[in-house]
Formats: sequence, structure tokens, C-alpha cells
Amino acid sequence: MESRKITFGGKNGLHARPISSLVALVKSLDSQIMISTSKKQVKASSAFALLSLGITCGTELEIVATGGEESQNADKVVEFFNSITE
Amino acid sequence: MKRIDKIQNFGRALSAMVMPNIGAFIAWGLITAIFMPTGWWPNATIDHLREPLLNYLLPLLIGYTGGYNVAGKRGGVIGAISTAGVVVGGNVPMFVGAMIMGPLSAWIIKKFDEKVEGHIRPGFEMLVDNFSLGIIGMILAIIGFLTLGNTVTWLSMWVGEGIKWLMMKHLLPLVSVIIEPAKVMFLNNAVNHGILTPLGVAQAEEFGKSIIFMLESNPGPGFGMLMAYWVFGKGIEKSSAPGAVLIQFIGGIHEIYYPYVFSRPRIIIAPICGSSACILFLLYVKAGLIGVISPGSIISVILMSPRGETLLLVSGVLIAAIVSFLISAPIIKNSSAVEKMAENKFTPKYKQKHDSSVKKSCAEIHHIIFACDAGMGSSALAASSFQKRLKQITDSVSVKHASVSSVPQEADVVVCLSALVGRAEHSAPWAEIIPLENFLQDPALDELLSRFSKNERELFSVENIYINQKADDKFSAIRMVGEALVKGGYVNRKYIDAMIERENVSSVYMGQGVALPHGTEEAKLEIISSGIVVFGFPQGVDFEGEKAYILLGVAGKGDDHMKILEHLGETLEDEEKLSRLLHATTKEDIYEILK
Repeated sequence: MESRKITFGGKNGLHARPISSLVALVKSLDSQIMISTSKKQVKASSAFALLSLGITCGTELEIVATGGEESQNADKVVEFFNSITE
Repeated sequence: MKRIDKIQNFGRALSAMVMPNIGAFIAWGLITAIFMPTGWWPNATIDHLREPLLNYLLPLLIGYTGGYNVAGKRGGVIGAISTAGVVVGGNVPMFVGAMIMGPLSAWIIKKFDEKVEGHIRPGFEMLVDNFSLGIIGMILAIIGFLTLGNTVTWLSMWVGEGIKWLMMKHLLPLVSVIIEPAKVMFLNNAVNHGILTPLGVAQAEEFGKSIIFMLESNPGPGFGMLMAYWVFGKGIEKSSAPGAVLIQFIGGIHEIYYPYVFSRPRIIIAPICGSSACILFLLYVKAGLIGVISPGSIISVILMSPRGETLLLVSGVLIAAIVSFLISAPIIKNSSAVEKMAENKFTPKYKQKHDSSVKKSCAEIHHIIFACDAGMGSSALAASSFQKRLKQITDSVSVKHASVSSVPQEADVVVCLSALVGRAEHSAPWAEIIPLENFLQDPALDELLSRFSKNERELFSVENIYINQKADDKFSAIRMVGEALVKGGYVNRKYIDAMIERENVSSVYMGQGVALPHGTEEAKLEIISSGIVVFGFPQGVDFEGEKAYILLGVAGKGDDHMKILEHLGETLEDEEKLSRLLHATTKEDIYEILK
């Protein structure tokens, strides 16, 4: 189990478009990815669950990868989040 | 069109030639009042201005305006040319001649222009334009000079003699019996500026003053009646009367009191008697006014009074007011039952009709036009007071005023008194017509205003749910969703294009049979207030191989967007709720799941 902590930097929050991309990314990985905020923890493969987190600019996130190439996959998700600026 | 509408329109055509030029009439009236030999400050040199202004400027302006109203600037020019012919041909101020020649010659040049349009060799347009107007204008001026000049002089003298006869026999007060009802039928401008002003000016030229200016414009009768409503009225009639008094008596906008007449038709007897009493008094003391009273305000009366007669004329106005008040009072006090009947008689006819016409949402309303007969008095007043209220809610809607006969193309909503609805429908069939009983306080105005206020619109309701829909592809499905958002008053039409654009950037299909169509970030400006619509497509809509059965159209203003998505996410994340949503068969079920 690999875990990473980041602060979300997308100006407009984690809205529908990046969520679609994230779900697509997560589905291509061989680890199970969970994302949690102070509110709750959800599966990153469910778009609706991600929406329900209501992630806005400045929200602190924890990314947890289990199984498969855990470390590598966790980094890929972090990289994805960091690429979102708007 | 009904006959009354036709009469009003004809009257409107007459008064529309005079009303834009009232300022010139006032300039002439002031010069006369101040500088004529018996004026406040006699000055023989400046007094020379008087005759040319009256005999040339005013008829030419009327002829120009009359032509302009028919055929634009070319119509105006030829109207002025032919009016000049009549002016020189006669020896009375040629207002009637101008009112005939102006529109007539403009109509002729318009027909000519239509005939030659498209047949002119390129490069010759200016030559043909200028010479056609010049030659036709020349012919009309000569015809006017040789024929109409004398005819109109003869006609004017005949009418003038008729009025003198009425005055001599002391029958002039009786004309109130015709004028007062005609006024409240919205023929006020037609009667005053179409008929009385030219007669009055002719008489003033002969005797230095005329009582004719007082026949229609006297603010006294309406003032007295409104005061009676203020003292003895009940409810909205009482509370709105003080404002109406101010607008009518000082502002000179008489239309404001017509609805008070409609609510008790027999009260018309009060202004009739008031006006008659005033005319009788003025005839007895031989008082008259120098120029046009427009608007019909007490201030205009004072300014247009000959030196030494101000007190007499103000007394005349007050006599009219007192008589009208005394007659109105018992009618108002004893007729609350009758009033209800009258209200029922007057309003439902229009209201019912109105209900069937399409009510526009705030997204479809960009231009609101307040309309009255002339488009200058009561409509301007109502428009500015409504604009003040609307400004507190939104800046993006323009509020203007116009004549009910010439509503501008861009009007989305036309607001007018219910007696003018017929004419409004005729001149602006594309617009929503809102009939009013009262220009200042009317529930219909509050309703119109409420369409723009955000609190009135809910984010989501059963009406926002559309089930059993069908679409050929995802784009037409998204357009349907967008149309529903527009219809709900949540977004401007441009938002729909932004939804398509958003789909092109990346799909709004979110998985598990659900898509969340929404606009781009830039299109947030097109959102009026946040809202959600739901579309059910039992056969599914194809999103790149996956099928969406439920489309949730989202328009979130500001931070609302993320909040709405978060809320939807919370609901749809729940597998049980998602499955219920996908299998729901009634709007109510869907509403229960999503609310």
C-alpha cells in the first residue's frame, strides 16, 4: 500500500472534465486507487464518488494505491492531479 | 382590428405630426406671451419673429414630420416642399394644409421610389433620387399653391366661424360632453393636437389668445376627480391617488387618471361638468391662452397665460377641479359594489386572452417596451419608474417607451394599459403583451419583475424533469437539455452552444448510464441562475459506444457548479439510488430521488 498527500491546485475545483480523465487513468492502472479528503474515502474509479468529494482549490487529498505497481501508480495519479491548474 | 383601435390609430397619425414639434409651438408661444405688444415685456423688434414662426416654421415642421412618418427623410423633405406651396397659397396658418400635404406627398414619393427601385442604372442613383424628389416636389408645391391654399383658408375660416358661433351662443361648454369621453378612450392626443391645436393657433393669431387650448388640456377636471379618490377612495385607489395627482396636475400626463374612470365608468360625468364649468367661466370673463398647453400641466397653463390673466386662468382650472371633485365624491362613496362589477367587466376580457398567450421567461426578455398612445407621456413615466425597480435586480434588460402604434422590432414584452391591448397586438404580434390597469401600481408589473428575481426560481422542480425522451445522437440530446434550461429561465440561449462545445472538448458521459451535460467555464456568464434539468431517454443516447439513459443538465452560477456536482455525486454514488433513477418511470419518482 502506497500513500501520497497533496493539496489540490485546480482553480475551478475537480469538476466533471478532469474527473472523466482521472477515471480513465485509474481504470488503466493495475492498482486499486482510493482518494480521501477530510470528509470521506472513495474509489477513484467511480466518477460520481469523486464528484461527491466536492474537491475545490486548496482541498487536501490523500491518494492510496493497493496492489500491482503501487508506488509507480500512486505517482501517476499525483502527477495527474498536479497537472490540473485550472 | 376593432373600430375604436382604427379611430385611435388615425388620431395617432394626426397627433404624431404635431407632437414631436410641441417644443416649437412652445417657443412660439413664449415669444408671443413675453414680447407681443400686450406681453410681459413688449419688444417690437423681437416681436417680428412671431409671424414667420407661426406662418412658416410651424406648418413646415408639421409637413416635414407628417411626411417623415410616412416615408422617412425623403418623405419629410417632399412634405415640407409641398407644405410650402400651401403656406404661400393661403393666408391663415396652414396646419390643416400641412397635415394633408405632408403625408400625401410622402406617399407619392414612396410609391415612385418603389416603382423605380431596381431599375436605375448603377451610378445614376443620386441623380434619380435628387431630381425625382425635386420635380415631384415642385409639381406638388404648385398644385398646393394654386388649389389647396385657398381651399384650406376657406375651410379654416368656416371652422373658425363655427367655433365663434358656438362661443357666441354659449354652447362651447357642451363640447366637453364629447371631449372628455374621447380623452379616456385614448383619443386625447388626436383630439388635442390633431384638431384643437391648429384651430387654437389660428384663433390666437386673430385675437391674441384662445380658449380652445383649454378645452382638452385643462388639468382641473382630472385633478378634482383624483383628489376625490384620494379622500373618499379605498384600498389601492386611495393609496395610488396622491402619486397620480402629482403626475397629472404638475407633470401634465393625463393618461394616469383614465383607469380611475374605467373603474367606475359613470364618474365620467364629473370631468365633463368640471370642464364645462371652466369653459363657461372663461367665456364669461373673456379669458384665453396664448399658446399650446402641452403637457396639460398647471405650470403650462401659467406660462401660457396672457399678462394680467394668469389669476383668471388658474381660477378656471380650480373651478373645474372643485366641480369635478364635488361630483366625483358621492359617486366614489356610494359605489363600492358597482366598482367590483366594473372591475370584473373590464379586466377579465384582457386577462383571459392574455393567459393563453405565451409568457416569456427572463432569459427571453431583453427589451421591455412601455407603450401609450403617443409614446411620450405616461409610457415614459411608467418605463422610468419600472426601470428603477428592475435595476435593483438586473442591468441586462433595456426598458424603453414607445407609441403603441409603432413598437420597435426588438421588443420582447410590451406593457400597456388594457384599453390599448388591441393596438399593441396589431403592431407587435411577436411580443408578449402585458395589460395594465394602472401604470404605477399593478400586480402585473410585480409579476413581470418577479420573473427576474432569483429567489423566485427554484434550482430544481418537477417541471424540470422530462421523461420518455428520444434523440438521434448525443448532440441533439444535449441541445434538448439546453433548451429546457433556457425554458426554465436558468440560462441564455448561448449556453446551449457552450454545452456542445464542452462535449467536443471531452465527453460529459460520466459512466453507469449517466451524462452531465453542462457549458464551458467561459459560458458561466450566460447563466442567469443555477438550475438542473433531468432528461430520461429509455432507449439510451449513444456516447461513443456507451449509452446514457439519464442526462442531468447542469447550470451552476459561480461556486454553485461544484456544489451541484458534489450533491449529484453523493446521490449517484449510492448504487441503490442510481439504479432506482435509471429505472424510474414517473417524474415524481425522479424528483424524490434527486431532490
